[in-house]
Amino acid sequence: MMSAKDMAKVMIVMFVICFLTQSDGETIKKRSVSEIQLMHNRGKHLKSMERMEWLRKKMQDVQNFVGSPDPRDNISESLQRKEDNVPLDNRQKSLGETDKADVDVLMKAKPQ
Amino acid sequence: MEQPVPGSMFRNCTQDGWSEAFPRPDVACGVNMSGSSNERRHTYLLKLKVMYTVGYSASLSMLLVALSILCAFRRLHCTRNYIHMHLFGSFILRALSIFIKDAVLFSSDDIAYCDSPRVGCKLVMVFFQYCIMANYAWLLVEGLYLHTLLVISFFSERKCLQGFVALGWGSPAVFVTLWALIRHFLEDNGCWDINANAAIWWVIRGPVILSILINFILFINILRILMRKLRTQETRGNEVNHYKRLAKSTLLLIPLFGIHYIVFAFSPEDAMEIQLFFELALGSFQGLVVAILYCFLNGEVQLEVQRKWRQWHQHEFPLRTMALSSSFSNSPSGLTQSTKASTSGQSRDICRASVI
Repeated sequence: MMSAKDMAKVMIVMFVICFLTQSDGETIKKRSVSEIQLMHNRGKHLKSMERMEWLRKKMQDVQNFVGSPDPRDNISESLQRKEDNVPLDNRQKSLGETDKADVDVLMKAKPQ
Repeated sequence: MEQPVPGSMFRNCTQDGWSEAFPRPDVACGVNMSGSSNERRHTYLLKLKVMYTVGYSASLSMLLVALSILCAFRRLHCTRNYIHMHLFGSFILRALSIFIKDAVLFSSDDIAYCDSPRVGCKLVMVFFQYCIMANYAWLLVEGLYLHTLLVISFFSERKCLQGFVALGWGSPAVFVTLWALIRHFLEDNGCWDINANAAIWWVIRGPVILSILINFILFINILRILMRKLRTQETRGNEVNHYKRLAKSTLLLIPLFGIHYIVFAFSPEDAMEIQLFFELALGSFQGLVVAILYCFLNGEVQLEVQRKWRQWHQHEFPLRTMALSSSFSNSPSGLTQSTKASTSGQSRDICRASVI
């Protein structure tokens, strides 16, 4: 059986550990189960990658739009394509309703 | 020339018409699209995944062999080995759950996060968390069992085992159920793989950290008791031998109790990458090490396997070894019975004596 002295020692060790963990709340907060932490990190990473990809696509749309000498040329070109029954390219397909609104705003703001 | 304002893009009017717009849209919007840090992190995460997949595969195969050996030989059945079997089982479940989780979550890298995940994905996540917690719980049970064995002289092993099974498989179920319920009602987003709310995460993390701490304390206390016992046993002053045995038992106990988890228990956020690498590397191979140390290198197990092998060999050639094989057959003669009883008693004694 444990003697009182041993008990006291264990108590002191536990107290010290409790003190260490309490003294700096931030340190223990970081401690986590590695597998779950990794899953968390990877999930966040994938999410941010996806967000970046979305943003890159939108930026590409903006750049293409701004880069074209005249928006009206672009539109007439697309109209032409429609008439030819040629499928539109991915960039224009990806433009949704909200994107169209953005493009409209840009068209207005564009220096003529 | 005008100073570039964030959010503005310019074009110059030249003789040949408008120039290209500048700066690039991503620069104008203040977003760094070069993504070099993202790329770096991606390769780092991929490396980690390859490493722990190798580790868990090796552990899984070895643990399956070890578990079947321990189950097959009835003479190896004693409380200590029952606990080892449960521990092996929890390691196997942990490895399996990680493979299933990886298959479900990251089957393709361009997984659509905005799609509402199905119930199956969340169930896999709950199973994954349960297996991880159960493994930590069984590491704690190993510590508790050895500690009670050394500290308390007389206790009912049967009742003890029941309590340990309840602690090892039951307590994680309670915490994981609680976590799933809280997650369902308070933070039901994604496939429950991102823990944005740290408070909810504590339902899983808290018990795990507590079990690691308790196991560490038990480990220190067990080493202290061992040191005292070794000192009283060897009064001839064979210090070197004494420390050798102590070091051996320490090294044997570290993988069994998962003591390496204490190293990064209080690490700061900066050391996250090192911590993940260290813990995943050791954690994935821990099952392999435990299977080797507590099954394949175990004297009793080797003895039993050798005995079985010889027995099988004799059955193969029955004519030549007719006389010898009779002692191994299941004939209910008094002599065989008594020898069986004595050997099983012996093995039980070995079980008790070689706790470490």
